Amino acid sequence: MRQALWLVKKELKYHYLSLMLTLVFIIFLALLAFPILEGTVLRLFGTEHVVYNRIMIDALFVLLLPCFGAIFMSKPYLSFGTIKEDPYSKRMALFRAMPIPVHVLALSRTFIMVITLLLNITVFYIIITLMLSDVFFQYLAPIEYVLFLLFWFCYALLFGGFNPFIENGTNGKVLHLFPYLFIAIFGVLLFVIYYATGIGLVDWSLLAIREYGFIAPVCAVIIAGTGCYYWNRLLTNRLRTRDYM
Amino acid sequence: MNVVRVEGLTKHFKKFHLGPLNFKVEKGTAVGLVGSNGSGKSTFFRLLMNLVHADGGTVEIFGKKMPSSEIEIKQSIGFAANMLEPFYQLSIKEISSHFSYWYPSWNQNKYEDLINRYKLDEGEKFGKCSTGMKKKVDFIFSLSHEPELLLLDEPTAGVDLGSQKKMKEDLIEFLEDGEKSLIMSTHLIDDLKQICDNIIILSPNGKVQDFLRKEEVEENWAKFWVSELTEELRCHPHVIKVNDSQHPSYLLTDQKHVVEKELREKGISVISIQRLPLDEIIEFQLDS
Repeated sequence: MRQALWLVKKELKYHYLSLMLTLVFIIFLALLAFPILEGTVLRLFGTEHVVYNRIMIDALFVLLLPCFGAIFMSKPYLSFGTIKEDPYSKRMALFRAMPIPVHVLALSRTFIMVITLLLNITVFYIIITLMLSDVFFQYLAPIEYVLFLLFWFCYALLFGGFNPFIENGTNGKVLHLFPYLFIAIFGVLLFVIYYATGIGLVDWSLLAIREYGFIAPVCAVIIAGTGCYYWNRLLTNRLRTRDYM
Repeated sequence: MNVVRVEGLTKHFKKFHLGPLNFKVEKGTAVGLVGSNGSGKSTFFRLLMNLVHADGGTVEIFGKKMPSSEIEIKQSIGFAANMLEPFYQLSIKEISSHFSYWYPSWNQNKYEDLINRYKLDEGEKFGKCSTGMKKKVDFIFSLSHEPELLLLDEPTAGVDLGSQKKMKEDLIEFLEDGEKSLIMSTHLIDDLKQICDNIIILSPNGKVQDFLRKEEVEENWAKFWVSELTEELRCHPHVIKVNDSQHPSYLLTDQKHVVEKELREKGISVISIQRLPLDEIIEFQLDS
């Protein structure tokens, strides 16, 4: 644990600038998200007629939140050169050449993901919360709002937990192709859900929290925690068995 | 005692098969790995370091099995194989903090001495260093934790002549006490002549073509210019090449004393004998 944290500290220090740029982009996303979230709640629980786009709110929460676990405003994500150069694999090859236990390496990648996610999502949530109007909280109680945020944090942790595997267990090509695959799978899933139920996933999460209170976020915490544990195990196995050419 | 023991090691790729490799490296010896580009030298090092996983065979280092004692083994190996590029944004000093943390036997004084000896600026970002400087940094990190075994992938390639000389001196000093061992790949004959005791020649198809003991090779390989070449000589197991297109004809042998005796017994007069320099022997082996 101590060794993994030492690595995390070093890595985050070296990626400080990319992390800051990522946060700037997150602030931009939060400014985009808050009016849509407000519209969602007013339409679901209020009586006013609200112009509302459920695709936008689902796109923001379902597709973008898992990305918060990655420092995505960094060269490997922004440059197509990554496909050829595969910088994450080269970095991992260097670490594997040193006497660092594989489980320490995997744990450090998971910690980096969790810390990045916590940082990004905290900024995202703070901006949204500060920008939401009082009217919003007339329709959604503060405790429901906190549970809603916790639910989506768990969602981000569950799917963002896969990021360390994509970064360090695959190659540059997969790193760039995976987001498109993720968008395609969830795009189809969202379409099916809209078609079948007439509501989006964010709508559904709000309704579930109103209906079941703590149960939905508690389930989410358990699923996300378990998911994170298994992603870490998967990454450990992958780092141990892959070839670093 | 064997420091490295490789048995039946194989690795298959789509277009290339390495091995099966079988050999031992004795404690206190230096082994040069020679082969054409793409013959698998770098892959061989990565197999030893468990960065590439073998399809078959075993690797034992310091009498311990890889990968079950991986961390313990790696702590005692100095490995330089141009892998520091991911640290391009770090200064040499910042990179050293990684090495000093992960290698318990890190010797800060030795590291600083080497940095001064090779006239490197610790504050320089690795990405801004020239190819030769990067090689020197790699070399310094491989030596600074007092390893028992050095694995060096073309350590002197692209390095200026003055630093090449220093590197050779450092390697000779490293091997001096007879307790430490070295495996290095190189294309430079001087490296082999001055540093290595044994030479492994990898064929282009990834097999060990020959394992040469330098002293024996220099003693046994020779070119004989002779008055005549009999059919018996042409088929002799220790005559590895004949040339009768010019006069006088010559033959090449890897057992000088055996062939010399036979020539004398058969009454064939020897016009001249020339011991073969190491570079010609290796060139011959690589060509064949």
